[in-house]
Amino acid sequence: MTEKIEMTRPLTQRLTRWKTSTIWRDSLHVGNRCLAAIFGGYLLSAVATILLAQILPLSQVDRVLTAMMLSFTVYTCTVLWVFSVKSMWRFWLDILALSGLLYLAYLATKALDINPIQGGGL
Amino acid sequence: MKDSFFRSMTWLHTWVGLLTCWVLFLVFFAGTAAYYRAEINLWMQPENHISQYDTNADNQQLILKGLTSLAQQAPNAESWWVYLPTQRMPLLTYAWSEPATEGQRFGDYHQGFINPSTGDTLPKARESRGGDFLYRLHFDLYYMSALTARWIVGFCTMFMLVAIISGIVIHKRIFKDFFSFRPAKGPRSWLDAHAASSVLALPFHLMITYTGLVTLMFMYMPWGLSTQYGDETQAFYSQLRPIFNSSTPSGEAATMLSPQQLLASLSAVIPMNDETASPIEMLQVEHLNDANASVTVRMSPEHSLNQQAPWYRFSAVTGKLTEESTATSAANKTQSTMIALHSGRFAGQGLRLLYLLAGITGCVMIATGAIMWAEKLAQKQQKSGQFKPGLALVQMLNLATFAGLPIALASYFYANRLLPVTFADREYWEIQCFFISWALVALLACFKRDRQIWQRLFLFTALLYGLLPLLNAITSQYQLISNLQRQAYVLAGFDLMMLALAALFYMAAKRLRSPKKVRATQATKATTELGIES
Repeated sequence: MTEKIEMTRPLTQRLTRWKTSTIWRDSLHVGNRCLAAIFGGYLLSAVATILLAQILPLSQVDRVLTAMMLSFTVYTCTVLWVFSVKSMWRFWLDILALSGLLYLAYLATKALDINPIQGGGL
Repeated sequence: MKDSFFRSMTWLHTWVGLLTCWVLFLVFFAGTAAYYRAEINLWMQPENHISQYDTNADNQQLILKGLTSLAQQAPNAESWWVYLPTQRMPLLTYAWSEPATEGQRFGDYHQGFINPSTGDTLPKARESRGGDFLYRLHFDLYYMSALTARWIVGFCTMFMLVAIISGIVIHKRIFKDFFSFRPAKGPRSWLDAHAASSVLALPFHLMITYTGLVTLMFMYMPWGLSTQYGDETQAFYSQLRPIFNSSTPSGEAATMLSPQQLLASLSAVIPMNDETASPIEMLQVEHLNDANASVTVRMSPEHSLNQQAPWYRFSAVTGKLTEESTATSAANKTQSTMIALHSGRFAGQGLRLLYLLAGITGCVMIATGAIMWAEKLAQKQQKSGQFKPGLALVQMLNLATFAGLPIALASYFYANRLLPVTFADREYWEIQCFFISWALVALLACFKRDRQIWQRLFLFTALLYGLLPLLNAITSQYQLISNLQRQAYVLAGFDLMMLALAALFYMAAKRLRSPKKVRATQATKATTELGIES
């Protein structure tokens, strides 16, 4: 039984099964997902923006602009993903690991100075 | 697995939608009204109703008139602006800002209007924020700092995007449902209405939500900018929008060219009365009486989807062209196109009407979604006999928001005409009337929130909007018929729009009354079924 089905099951039914502890468990689960969606999603999209602003093959202004415009797509996808996976705590690990990796990639490309067009104007 | 995915998306759609719907309704409502910002501005200053758009006006003469008025009235200002008349705002507007005093970020702003057909300066109109209030309400809300408000609005917008995407996911039969509407069937009809209003304008909803985030993205997602530019973000902005990249004052005093000389040097470069060229939109003079004094001329972006109309910058001391717009990059164009799509500034009257209709559809989508949630829960609780306070709260917020805001807007218009012109802090009190009447509806919603009160409030709203043209006839020199006769279509259009709104609310009120019989039979059927079961 996944917590997903738990979430949509009528409250009364759940009460009889778990007694009073279910409400606490449910709000913990939902709250946990909300936190991951809101803050984890923001973290991931912020790091994705930082990386894209470094590596897109455009001038500096355009890289920054394009990365910013795309960031909300990343955010939306992350929120949907957090609410759709079965696991209860895994998504935290995934989000943090992915954000860390993207940030490392940013640091690496910055240190190696890999970007196709340096500086550049309009 | 697939089933559980749909289920979690349904759950997400429901809760994200429900929790943000009231703020989103306010944002949609004010934003939709703000598509008519200029028209509302004009309507709310009946002193300015005199003029109408003159297609044969001589732009050179108008600019000269504006500059001379400024030179006479505000020779020591910080900046001057001259806005040429347009279809939407048929008056010549001139404005100036005083140098900022201590503790001010910007100096005080003043403006005056000139009738383009006679050249007379109009007497000072009544103080009113007009459509600008609705425009600000759309993202700055009210009674709080703009920064807090923008974060709240941004948060809700982000989750609107989530609600839309998850809504598409759970809507399995998107095309089939689009053609089905089952009226008078309780929650089922609300679902159909919700689906129809969502799907009908889906591209608009997606576009407006995403571009809304893009308009404020420098605030919401600045991390790419700060890692790339560090403390030198100014360099980024000046490359992005060089038109706002004004020179700094040198501190050396200098004599500026006279308005006539200025105009002569401008018209040597810019085609002034050329029918085919895009007309001048506005002219800005900065750092007056300084050696670096400059004149920026922006052409109208009228027919350009990305709003990047050409502009020119001249020295106001020598009259030489110093800077000029250049071609911009694809990313830059994409961003300004997104902002233009959101604000609809390029839209002519036909397209603007479509924007309005799509905006109303958005309001309907939000309202029907929230009402459906309440109806479903009410039905469930009626069956089980348990009533919980959450339902009452949602019903209360629904009534207060969805029925309250249209009444608040009408009250704002009434206050504009009924508050005496000399009333102290008139601007402020017009806005207070908006919020007071909204609060009254909210208070009413605390005590009554059944179908009957919805219907009565809608009838009242219809009455309010229906009488607005009459109020205009009494409090302005012109009324609907005379406006149509003298081809002042902006003003006549406002009155017609109010009548259309009145009709809309009247129909809604009528609909709310008619299915009673059906509901009654359904209720008896339900009780008999229950009776059989028990």
